[in-house]
Amino acid sequence: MLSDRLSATAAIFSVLILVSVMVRAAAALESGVAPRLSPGQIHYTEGCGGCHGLLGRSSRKDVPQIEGEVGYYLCTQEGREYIVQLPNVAFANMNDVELAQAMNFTVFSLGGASVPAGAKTFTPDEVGRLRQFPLKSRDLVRMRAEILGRAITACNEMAETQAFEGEF
Amino acid sequence: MGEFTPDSLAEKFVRNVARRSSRRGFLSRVGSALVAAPFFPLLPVARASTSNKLTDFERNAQTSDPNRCDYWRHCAIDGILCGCCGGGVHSCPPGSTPSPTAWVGTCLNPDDGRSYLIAYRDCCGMGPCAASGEDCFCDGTDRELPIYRPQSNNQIIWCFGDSSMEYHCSTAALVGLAE
Repeated sequence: MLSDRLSATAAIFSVLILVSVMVRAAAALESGVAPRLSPGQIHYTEGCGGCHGLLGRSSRKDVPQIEGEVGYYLCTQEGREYIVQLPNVAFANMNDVELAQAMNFTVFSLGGASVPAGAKTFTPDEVGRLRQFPLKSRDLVRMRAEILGRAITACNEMAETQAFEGEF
Repeated sequence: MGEFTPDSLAEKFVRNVARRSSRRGFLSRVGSALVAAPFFPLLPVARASTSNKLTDFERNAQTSDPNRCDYWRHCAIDGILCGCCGGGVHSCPPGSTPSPTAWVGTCLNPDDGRSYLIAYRDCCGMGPCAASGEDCFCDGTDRELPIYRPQSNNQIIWCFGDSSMEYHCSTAALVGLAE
């Protein structure tokens, strides 16, 4: 009978659709669990996040903390250059566009309140220029302490000026 | 009749088509095509086109048993699976502590064909786990880089930053989509 055949066909199609939906749901499970990350966060996670912490929180004893601190470097030009010229940044397995995305995620998303007001984002051009001159200091730890010290002083001065201007 | 003008030929052809086909038949075929279309991307045909880019590990990876080396997230793990030691694919066995440092690899999930970032975090603070499973000692090398790129190398004992450098086992936690 035609109607029997039609209902049998309909039944087969319903089962097939159901199976299809189930297969897709199972496949979507991992992507449902796994968060979607911005390109900058993907590059940071892959190239930096293992040691510096997926959210910039690290074991300070061995690895400098990024979360809430990295923004200080943008208070001076030398600090801004330093964080790109660090050997593992300059030689990172990323092209200039990717590295700029990674730097902007690192500084502006993980840096939090440490980022000075009005700080400019990194462009691929700037990053490409700076990374041609990776740091060759044999005393990076001391260099870092000095650059960070001057940066924090500059940050405090900027904050005071802004507070002063804010009174008028 | 009997004349072979273009008009009569066309008419004959159209009438023939009309006799042999029905509107319902056409609609049902369109319907079948619509229903069947979503299945095609799931068939191996579509994936075969990308298979030349797959690594050996990716071709054989499975998604159901995390306590085996060929589990998809283990594409770049080097060590003893914590799941064989009383822990899990993202948890340390009792008594050991997760290292604050890890290295991050990228693995392809064969179910959805997408790449994911996987953090290979070692569990530390105890001697090597005495795993009893048959498939617990793994050495995946997908996208691993030489030791002079330490952040992407798995020969390292990733326990630094912790109070103890003693290696117990390795986990493979899902961090996010890598695309």
